[in-house]
Amino acid sequence: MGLGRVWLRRFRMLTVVVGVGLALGVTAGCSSKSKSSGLDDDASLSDDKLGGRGSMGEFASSGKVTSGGRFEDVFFAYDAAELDGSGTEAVRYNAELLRAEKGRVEIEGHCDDRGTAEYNLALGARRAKSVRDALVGLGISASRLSTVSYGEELPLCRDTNEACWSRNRRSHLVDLTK
Amino acid sequence: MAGSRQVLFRVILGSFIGLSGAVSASAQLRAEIVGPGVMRIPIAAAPLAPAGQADAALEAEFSRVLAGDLDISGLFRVIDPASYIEGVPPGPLGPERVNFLNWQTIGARGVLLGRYERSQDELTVEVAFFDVPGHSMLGGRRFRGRSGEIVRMAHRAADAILEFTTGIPGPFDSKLAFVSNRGGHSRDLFTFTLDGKIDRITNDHSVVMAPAWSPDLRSVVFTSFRDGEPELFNADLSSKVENKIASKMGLNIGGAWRPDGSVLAVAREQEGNTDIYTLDFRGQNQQRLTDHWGIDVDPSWSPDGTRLAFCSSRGGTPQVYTMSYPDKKVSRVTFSGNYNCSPVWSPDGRSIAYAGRMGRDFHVFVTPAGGGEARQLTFVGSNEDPTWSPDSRFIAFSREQGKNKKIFLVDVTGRWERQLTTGDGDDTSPSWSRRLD
Repeated sequence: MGLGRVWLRRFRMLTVVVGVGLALGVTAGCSSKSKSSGLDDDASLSDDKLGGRGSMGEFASSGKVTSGGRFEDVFFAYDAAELDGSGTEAVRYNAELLRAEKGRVEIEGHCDDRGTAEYNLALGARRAKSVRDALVGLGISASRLSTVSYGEELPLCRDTNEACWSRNRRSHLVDLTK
Repeated sequence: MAGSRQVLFRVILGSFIGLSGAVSASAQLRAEIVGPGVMRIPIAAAPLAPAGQADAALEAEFSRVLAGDLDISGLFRVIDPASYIEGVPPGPLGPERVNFLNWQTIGARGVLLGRYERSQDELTVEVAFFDVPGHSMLGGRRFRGRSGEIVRMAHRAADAILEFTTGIPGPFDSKLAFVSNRGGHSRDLFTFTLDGKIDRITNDHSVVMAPAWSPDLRSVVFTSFRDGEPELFNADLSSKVENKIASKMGLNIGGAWRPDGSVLAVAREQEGNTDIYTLDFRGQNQQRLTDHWGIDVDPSWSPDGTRLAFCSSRGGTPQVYTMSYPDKKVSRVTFSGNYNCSPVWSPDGRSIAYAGRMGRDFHVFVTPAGGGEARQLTFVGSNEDPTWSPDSRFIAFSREQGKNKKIFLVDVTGRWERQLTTGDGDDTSPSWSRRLD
């Protein structure tokens, strides 16, 4: 009934869109293996395929991240990526362990959550790089070392005090060989 | 009919209803609108009247969504329908048929009247908004689509009410992408609409960060640790298929499409240093925009695509800068405080919002894009990840208060706040789309 009688002009809303999204859909070629490939643990991991290892692997399976392991964590000052005295000592200790073997390690960079997520991801990368450079300076071959940043995404603790924040501002080393 | 896509039609009523009357009278209601939260103007929204077969559920859904939007706006308060003594008059929706006295009696300054008609799967809704003291119609709209689109039509009606009363349409027919650990410990990509509907997009048992809309609104670009390292992905929202756009070279984060869709700005790290680059839609053809030892992250385009805001530690602490594109002339925007990051350019081009640290907490600030005094908009909790509403009226952000993080909005004056997400877990990194097509 009355509908439409009074309406003079119609505007079709803009529905057609640039081909960007579509084009992206076609670039799947550069995508990696799907997680559900059905292959077992280590057998499916090539050397540069680190999914499921280290802190992100712990987080994915348990929702938590632990500290420890045989390497010493390297801690940083707020918004800093330079090694201080105790950081340098921790790196020296880790270098001693690495010198006695041939395996590869991944150096993780972490931050406390007092910063923005994106900036902290970049800061974590810088921390990991700083530890890597120090290890290389102590004679560890760069080819045995890889880096990854987790920013503020995988904290060891969630309290809002300096004791917890300082634990989270760390670089953690993970064995890539058993 | 009208194809299977979500096609809505709209009509401007003013062209045949006697525009002059509408405009002069509208001044009465418009003059009352100061800003969100200052004084919420009471208006009525009569339940939609059926033209033909009635559908009580559809009427209720329209009323619920419309009232929710108007509440979020901070500009209006919808009077309880139980007190209405008047409904939608028969015949065309013109001011001559409205009993303004009966709306005035219940305290309404404005009233929305509307009608709907269903034929098979097609739904048509027409609404008109009236200035009660001015005895005039401010405008009307007609929406046509499938019956499932009643929610979007209600959002559009709310957008129209803001347009009729302020000259600028509301932001309600839009979506927000965000990151949440609801339903598990891993952080995944979700979207939500302002009617409260939440849609899970990824299920990766990993960590997702920094979602951003593609210009066509069909997909969201984000960073995911799904394969062990922070890499850039694109998720198609309807198929929920994820494609990797950029990996290699350390971290890849903060993809931001130039509004014309020509390039994607992204922060990439090489040898520990993070700079801003552009990539094409295949994730190729990398062009470097910043080249500095400081950390450069968070690119955000101006709406005309001629400038980029970003966060850089080049001055010693993280601060907001802008850069002209493509000639890369950099100027600093923020000077006070020692941590100002996450800049986002407003859709109207006038302002840049960012998160600035005040003591232990972060707060949302807004500053004129051309330089000038910054204003602090939030004062409680710790607030990060600002994102503009499509009408540049509001800024949504993530607030940490107590144990959880939730998404809130604040209007640009800082006087009006609303919590947008509830439930368990942390909701972070909201990214507000432009208005839907």
